[in-house]
Amino acid sequence: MVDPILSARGVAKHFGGLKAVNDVSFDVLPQQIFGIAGPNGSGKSTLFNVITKVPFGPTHGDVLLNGRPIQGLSAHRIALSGVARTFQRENVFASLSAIDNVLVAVESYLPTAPFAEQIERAEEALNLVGFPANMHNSPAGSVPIFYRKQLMIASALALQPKVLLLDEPASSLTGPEIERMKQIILRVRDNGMTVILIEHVLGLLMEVSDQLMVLDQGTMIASGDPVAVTRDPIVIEAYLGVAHE
Amino acid sequence: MDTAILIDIVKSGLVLGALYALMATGLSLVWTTLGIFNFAHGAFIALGAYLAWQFSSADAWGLPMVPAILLSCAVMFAIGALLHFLLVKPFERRQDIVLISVITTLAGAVILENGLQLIWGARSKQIPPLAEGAVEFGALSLRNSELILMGLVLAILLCVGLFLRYSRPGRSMRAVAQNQDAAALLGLNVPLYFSMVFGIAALTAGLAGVFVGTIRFMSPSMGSEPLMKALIVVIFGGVARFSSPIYAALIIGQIEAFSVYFVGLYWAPAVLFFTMIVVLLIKPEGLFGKYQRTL
Repeated sequence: MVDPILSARGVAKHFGGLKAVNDVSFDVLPQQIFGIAGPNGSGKSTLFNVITKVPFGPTHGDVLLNGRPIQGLSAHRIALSGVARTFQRENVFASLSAIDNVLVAVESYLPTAPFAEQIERAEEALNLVGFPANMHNSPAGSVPIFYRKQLMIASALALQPKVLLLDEPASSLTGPEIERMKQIILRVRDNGMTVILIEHVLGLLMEVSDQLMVLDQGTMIASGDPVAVTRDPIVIEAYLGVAHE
Repeated sequence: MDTAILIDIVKSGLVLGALYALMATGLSLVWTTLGIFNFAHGAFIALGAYLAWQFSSADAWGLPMVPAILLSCAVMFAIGALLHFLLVKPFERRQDIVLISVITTLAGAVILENGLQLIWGARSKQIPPLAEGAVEFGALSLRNSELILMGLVLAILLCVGLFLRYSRPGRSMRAVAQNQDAAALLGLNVPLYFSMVFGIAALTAGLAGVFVGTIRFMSPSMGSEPLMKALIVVIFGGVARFSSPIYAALIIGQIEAFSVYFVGLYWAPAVLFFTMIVVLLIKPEGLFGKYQRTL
């Protein structure tokens, strides 16, 4: 039996009376792509927020990385300990060049490494996601959306994370770009990393996920094999609502 | 107007502009990074001057000028970082941080100014000029101290600019300034960088105080008027980029120098405020500003 690399135990986030995430527990195995689906407002991104403590931690519950709780760490320590994350929107440092965006992460992960090595690591991360070499020195704010998403992933990968949390990487992308994003996600996994993927593009989610969890109104309503989960009547009801005679 | 007078006014404007640029840089740096105005900035100016006096004056420690200034820079950086930790950090995640920081930094200013009065007394002091003598360029006569002051300000601003652009901490500060959450997710200790920014702002303000202390008498409240001018510069130029207040300071320096000549010392601030309001009416984001804060 393989030990989970990341586990959530009764994780909850309450805003007053609103239970945005309500006692969610799950295990993610090493090198797994763990999909998370759910209607808008179901608590998917809030779950990522409480795992990474950006911008807030959980109201209660534990998140374990390799069996060790990480909720006592500050946000930047969680990132350096091996949990990296991208945002749904393209949150790049607009006035910094593409390679400087990645260097920020490399420098925080390997602060004492020689600059030449840091540059090499940054280029490796950019190459892994297929970011064009001729755009390394372009201001990040000026590159098209797909490249900004690549850049966000490359920056996260530069931290050499054990677990990469991707929040809707395919949003706002065209069909061919979604296919390229799928290849990037699979490549990341093939490089030994574990991926937790929130996605509204269900085709992509179904194609890459080894396991799928569905949230509705902050509560986990299904988890398991992706095909079985999507056939679950509770999941269908959550997405489509109850049919009225 | 006589050419000699014109040259003299422009020269005064340049000296003023250089000083204002140095004062405004720290203020702008804190705004672009933390999104708050530091009202203790004027007290930093006074504290820097008093520390340099303490370290360099024959009546106090009597160190040579250069080590005295370097030592005051180090102390100012530490005090800036400490004040961030005490006055701003506890409220950083609050939505009303802008309002709270007005009160806490004003409180910091009052504490620092009263501390200066308590330690060094109300009696005016002055730091010796940076150099004696003057050089003549035709009709233009420039005091060596003014030349050195302008050269030093230029060098300091260049150093700060290069530090932000090319150094590792500078790159990280720019990242933190643009997106705190994304920076934290990439492993940056955001509060630590905020403290560093406060430290650098205090250091540059302290240096401005040293220069002011060489040309004017020092008093614990000597930073109040420069703080007002620095605020005008930052708002007039736009609180967006590192370079914006530098250009704005040079313009404000010239406007003030010409105003003093044409309408007198007492009306010059009114002219500055009027100019600032006109600019804000036409370009609300400031003369060189952008709506988005970047560093």
